[in-house]
Amino acid sequence: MTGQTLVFFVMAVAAAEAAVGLAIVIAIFRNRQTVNIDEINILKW
Amino acid sequence: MVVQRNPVMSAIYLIANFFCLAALYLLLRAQLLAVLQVVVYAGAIMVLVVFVIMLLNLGNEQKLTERINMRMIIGVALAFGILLEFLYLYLSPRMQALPESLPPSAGAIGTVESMGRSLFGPFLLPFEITSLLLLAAIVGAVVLAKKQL
Repeated sequence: MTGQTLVFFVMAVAAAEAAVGLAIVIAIFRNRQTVNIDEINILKW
Repeated sequence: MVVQRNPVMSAIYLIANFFCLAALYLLLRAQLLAVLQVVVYAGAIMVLVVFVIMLLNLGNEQKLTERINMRMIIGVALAFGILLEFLYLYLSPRMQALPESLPPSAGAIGTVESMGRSLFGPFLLPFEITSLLLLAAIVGAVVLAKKQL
């Protein structure tokens, strides 16, 4: 029972992560006009 | 291995993957988790993913050049082999003679009632914290995706 409840919490946290990750993708696309991972190097120094 | 460059087709494959995961939950006798997997992931998350794909309006992706190579052939052959092995195991008489390993009360674990009793009983505080986390994620996603901060 405890395990299934913990799976429930993991699913909720993963759903929140997915929402934030997709928002980051939108923000990067607005910056760079691409979602090709090879052309995204804004973290590179 | 990327089979499809088309994002919408990839999203449909992801939906199929989520349904397979729900079937795994069902095999583990976690009925509520299987339903939640379909509703939350194959429903809500996939709507979000497809919405972002449409919003970004990805068009001219270059086609995948190498369609079938040696690795793919070997992988499919190995997967087929393990499928045959599982079928042989499942159909063998020794497998069917195994006793039922789970007690008969194991089916009552994953029901909505027992999950609800657990969530609103000993796990009440994590449950409320999860709701706060979801609220923060919603606000953060809106702020990140907004045009002007």
